[in-house]
Amino acid sequence: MGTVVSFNLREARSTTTDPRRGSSGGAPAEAARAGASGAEIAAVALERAQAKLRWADDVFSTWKPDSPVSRLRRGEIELGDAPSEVADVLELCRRARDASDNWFDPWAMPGGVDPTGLVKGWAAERALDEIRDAGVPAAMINAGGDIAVYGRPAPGQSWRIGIRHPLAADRILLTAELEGPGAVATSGSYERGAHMLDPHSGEPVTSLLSATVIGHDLAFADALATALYVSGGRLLERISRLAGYHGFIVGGRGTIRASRGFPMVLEGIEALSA
Amino acid sequence: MKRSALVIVATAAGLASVVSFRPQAGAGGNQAAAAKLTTGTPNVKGAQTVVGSDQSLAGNLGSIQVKVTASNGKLVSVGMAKMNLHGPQSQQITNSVIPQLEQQTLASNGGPIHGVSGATYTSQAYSRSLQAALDQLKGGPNASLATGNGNGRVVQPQGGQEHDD
Repeated sequence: MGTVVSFNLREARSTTTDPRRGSSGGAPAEAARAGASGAEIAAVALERAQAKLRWADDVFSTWKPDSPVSRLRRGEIELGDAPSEVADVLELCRRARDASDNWFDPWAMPGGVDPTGLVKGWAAERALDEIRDAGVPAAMINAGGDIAVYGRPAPGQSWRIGIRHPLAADRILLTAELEGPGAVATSGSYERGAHMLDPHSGEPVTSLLSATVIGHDLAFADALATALYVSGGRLLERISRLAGYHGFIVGGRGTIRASRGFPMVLEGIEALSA
Repeated sequence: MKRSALVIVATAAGLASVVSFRPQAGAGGNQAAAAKLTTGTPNVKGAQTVVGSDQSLAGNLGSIQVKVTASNGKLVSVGMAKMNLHGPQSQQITNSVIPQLEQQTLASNGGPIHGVSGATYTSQAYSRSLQAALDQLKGGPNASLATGNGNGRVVQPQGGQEHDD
């Protein structure tokens, strides 16, 4: 199984020079020094992001038997033998477990500690770092449905992120506005079947159609969306109390609940407390 | 089983209007991702509609065909070329909250949608995702915000396949 990663790279709008002269305008320092065009910056940025994603896959994949995380799970190596980022991710997992009242618990998974529920978001954030460092002033990454952004898509505008209808791949349920840096993660069983386990019972969870979390950091939002989903929505109130984080759930009968402050564009949905 | 196949699709605004990546990862090993530049001709003017292939929904809920239309770089409709949903749950949802919200989404005229968040999709399911439709809209809603000259670039690793989902 693979993950599709989409990028949207924005170029700074020049306000003081004629764009027809090819000025890089507000392009950042690294690119400006090199005299690179927007296309060249984008190509380098994407190459680095791609390399970072591959690296993360090589280190963290539980599908690859020789990855450091796979070997760690089998007890063949100690944490200190793995790349230091593995310890960083496990520390993030601990914090997400605490923040989610143990509804997200990589240590409760069968086969040993499994940070997969947080790694995709974490890796996407690192890939986005590469793009930022390469000199792209604003960008979005969408890693299989989990989105992180920084900067603005255009001056004065916010990123507009549609949240998918859980039963129809072509429908957007609502649109959330996001200012960079920010992240949106959604969990649900509609794509891959009932694959998420209740860490308390060990049983697959299917009570909600989907759960979405918006926040500053995609690794954390990714883990919390999983937790919100497996909790059957019970975590909505708790997540909304985390500074900068909001939750949104679609129940099994199509009912919709959003935490207060969820940055949706549309009126018409009453924000309910949990 | 293909493991860890990584497909990257990118839309870059501005001078680089469209950039698409399709690295072949996984079974082939980690060959260097030497990128080849070819020039495309994205259409930033006029209406453009992308229709996906007919796809079955998970859980035997029915089948749908994705359609996204943009005009002058602005998203004008998100809809279906074809939808055949069955089952009481899908009917209930289709008939209740969803249409209202969807109407508001399109009527809000609030600008383009840059990305779509949803439950993790596989590379196979990506082809029927709304994000895929957005990615295909060369010079579409994303590029419309930029000041670029419309020159497009399609970046492909050597030996890779053209992205044409």
